[in-house]
Amino acid sequence: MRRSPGYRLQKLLINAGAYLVLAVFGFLIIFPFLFMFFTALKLPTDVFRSPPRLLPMSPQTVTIDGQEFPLYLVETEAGVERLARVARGAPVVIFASVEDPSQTFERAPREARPVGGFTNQQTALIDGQERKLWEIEEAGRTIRVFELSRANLGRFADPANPERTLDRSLNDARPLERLDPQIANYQRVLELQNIDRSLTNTMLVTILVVLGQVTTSVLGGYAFARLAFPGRDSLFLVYLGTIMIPFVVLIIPMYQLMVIIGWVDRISSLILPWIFTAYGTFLMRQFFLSIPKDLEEAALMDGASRLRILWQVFVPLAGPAIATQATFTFLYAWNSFVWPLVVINTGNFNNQVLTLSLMVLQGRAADSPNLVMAGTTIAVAVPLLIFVLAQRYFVEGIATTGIK
Amino acid sequence: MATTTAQRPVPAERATLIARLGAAWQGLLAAGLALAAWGMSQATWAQRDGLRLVAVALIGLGALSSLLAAGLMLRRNRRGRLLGLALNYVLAIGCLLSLLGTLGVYTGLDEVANRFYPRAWLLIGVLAGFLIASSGDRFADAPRVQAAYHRTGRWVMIGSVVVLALSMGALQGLVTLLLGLRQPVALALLAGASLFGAAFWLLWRPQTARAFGAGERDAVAISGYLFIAPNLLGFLLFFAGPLLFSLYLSFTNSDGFRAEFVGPRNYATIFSLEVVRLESSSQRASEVLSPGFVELNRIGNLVIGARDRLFWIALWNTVVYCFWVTILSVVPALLIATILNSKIPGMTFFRAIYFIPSIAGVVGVAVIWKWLYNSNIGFLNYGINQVLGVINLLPGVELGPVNIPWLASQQTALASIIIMAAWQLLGFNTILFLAGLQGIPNDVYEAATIDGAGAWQRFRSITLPLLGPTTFFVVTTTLITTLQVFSEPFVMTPPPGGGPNNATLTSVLYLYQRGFNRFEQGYAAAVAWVLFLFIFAVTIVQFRMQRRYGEM
Repeated sequence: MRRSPGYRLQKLLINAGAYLVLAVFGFLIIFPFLFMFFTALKLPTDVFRSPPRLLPMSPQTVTIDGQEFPLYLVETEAGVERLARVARGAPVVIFASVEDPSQTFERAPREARPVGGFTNQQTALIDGQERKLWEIEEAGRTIRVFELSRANLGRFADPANPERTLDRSLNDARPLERLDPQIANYQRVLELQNIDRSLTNTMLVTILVVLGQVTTSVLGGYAFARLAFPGRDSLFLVYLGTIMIPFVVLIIPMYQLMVIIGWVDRISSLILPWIFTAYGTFLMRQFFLSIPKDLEEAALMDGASRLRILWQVFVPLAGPAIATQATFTFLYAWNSFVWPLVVINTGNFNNQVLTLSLMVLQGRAADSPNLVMAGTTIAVAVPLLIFVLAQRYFVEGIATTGIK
Repeated sequence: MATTTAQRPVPAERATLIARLGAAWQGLLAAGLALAAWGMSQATWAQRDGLRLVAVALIGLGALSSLLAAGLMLRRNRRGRLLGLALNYVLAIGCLLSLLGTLGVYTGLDEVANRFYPRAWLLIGVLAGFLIASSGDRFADAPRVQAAYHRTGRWVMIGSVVVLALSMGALQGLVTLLLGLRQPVALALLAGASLFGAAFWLLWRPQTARAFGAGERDAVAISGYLFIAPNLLGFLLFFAGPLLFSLYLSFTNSDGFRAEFVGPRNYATIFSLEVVRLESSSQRASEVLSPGFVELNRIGNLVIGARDRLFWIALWNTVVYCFWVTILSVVPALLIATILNSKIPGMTFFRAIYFIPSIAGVVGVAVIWKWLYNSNIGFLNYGINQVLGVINLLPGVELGPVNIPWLASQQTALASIIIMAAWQLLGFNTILFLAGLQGIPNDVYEAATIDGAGAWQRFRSITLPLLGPTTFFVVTTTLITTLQVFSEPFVMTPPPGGGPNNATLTSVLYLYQRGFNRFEQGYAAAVAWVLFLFIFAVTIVQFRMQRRYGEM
């Protein structure tokens, strides 16, 4: 079939539209993570800005006579110059005359007297706005004025020629800044909160939960798939049914169970109850069912034990399924929050996991979003790394659960 | 080979002897268990009366089944052997687990965490091994090279694990454990575990099997039970048991330590609702409501009162949240998945990007969004104002700069959490839809195109109907997830969460506050069951609808 030029143009437009939609959504999806990543690298002075800014910046400085001064772009008679701010001047108020508002005067706030006194200052309607009236001295006479604006004066010096200085309003000078990521924030957040200990705890818990879940569900999945025993099918139905039961029903009895067996505040409460999974067992069973029977029958004829068949025939074949289950369990264990919150509850900081520390950190360091974001980056980075390494299994895993 | 030995008969006297020995052991066991049950029923066990009752019942049940096993064995019934095997297995495992507890293995995991802390970097070795092994997959056409990579990777991984274990003091740990066996309790438990283990093994032997006339089927069944046993034990201990326990708790006034049975009082409190008419709109609600009831809402002159006002507020918030998050995360997901499914380059990249939020975990995401929502320095208001600025370039449009207080205001707080949750679930749902779309054969579309169907028509009459099961799955999982929302409001609103003025109080958050801030755990368990039944009902309705649509 020949494609006409019009068809090709239409196709091109559709593709461009598709990319546009994807890019807009993609930007919205990824932006919070960019914000997290860049905020984690900011200086404390760079965090609270309105309007906000994404990149971590710090003032550019110049050294004059062994002292560091910030650099500014200042408008002077010679055009726009790069000057160092050597001193912060007193604030000045710009007043305009009541009679002739185009006439303005710069004064220090102290030099103006309120008309009628501070407690009962007189006002006047100027350009439809009510203004407070002040009196200032100008060339020997007293003028009635109102406040037009305020400015902070700064003394600027030429870095090449420090003798040459001039005073300018800081409002008119633009600070020069440079990209300056603060890697040290990560160090600081590790010291501030026990993020490092939580990180290793989370790793340990996650690794053991993944190993445990994979082991029990491979064993159970094999039994459900291949070993006929009385009550197997009804037991399997019960397992399927429990997938529907939400965790919230279990929080309170599980907590009380932990109290009874003395596991409150213990790492074991984060690991041992979670190495049994109905869902994983179900997934493994489904996979094992798809493996042809002749393979194991040959091995059985040779007198191999069931455990050996499972280990040498089924497990190698189930590699992708196991990897899928492992990645999902990993995410689940790494990000779990409610259970640790409930069971690690008496302030045993040594047994906290990342989600808990992050929660505590964002309360404690509410004034330092840069540190909070550094902690969050640490918590998010590891799953992200796993995702990059095992992307295939994520997508495959979701596909299999969806097709079910 | 195995079948031929099984068929060789055991001499009759010998078989009788084996059966009698087995029956004697089970009889002895029954007596011992009965004694233990009696002893336990006499002992005073502070505060935990219910627990003692359950233990006595379980041990009594064990005694009865042991007696039954003995009787069956005497008659050389193969079921007797199976029952005996199960009992001895459970007892051996029970002794072993208690032994581990006595030796401090469970609590010792804290010490493992202590020692793991300074050495966690050794895991880099495991990661390196994994990378080496997986990089071998590139040489799929050269099996020997690939195998070499795999082998090297595996050994690097094993080596790092061994180094890690040794440097964490695995050997000293083992020695400490063995020394712990000097305690009399530990020794007794060890003896028990060995005894029951030996009994299990003796009953299991092929000779015993033949004595009871058990065939290959029993052998398969036993291995089936053995394989499922770890899973099943964990399931009973950490799922089924707590589930029943939770149902019991919901009928008590448990505070976490003490519990008194109070009947259905908790449920009655939750469901206490009444509707009364006010005589005039100026009348105060408290004058017409029954004592203990608080005004929940009013429609005209009708006042709805509830005993537990917060429960209903939380449930309403949860339903609103669930409804909007489902819509906002499912509809765009379908759109994006449809685009991603077209065969244009770069789709895997976008697919990966969209998936990132579902990896990141709710707490981290909530912390990030909390700052994005800041009304003064947050990027969300800034971004909206930038977009408004662009729109204002159109002639005659003047949309003022907005300063939405997001999480700080009662009007917008729940919406803020809804937006964030939809953002997080979007990618996951997209991938699910994508998987469903890829299951639709291409020739259906081609046939429709030849028949002259446009893009929208193809989407409506092919994609949507064929995507039915996927949509059902996506909607159901989203509903079940969102009805259990907890972390988002808990992290994003100031402690104890749910503010401002209960605008973001969700059911699970309410449950947590009752159960763990006020320690009214009996009441919280009742709330949990009501919520569970609600979720269950929603799922059932979903299933019904799915079935109806499926028939169409």
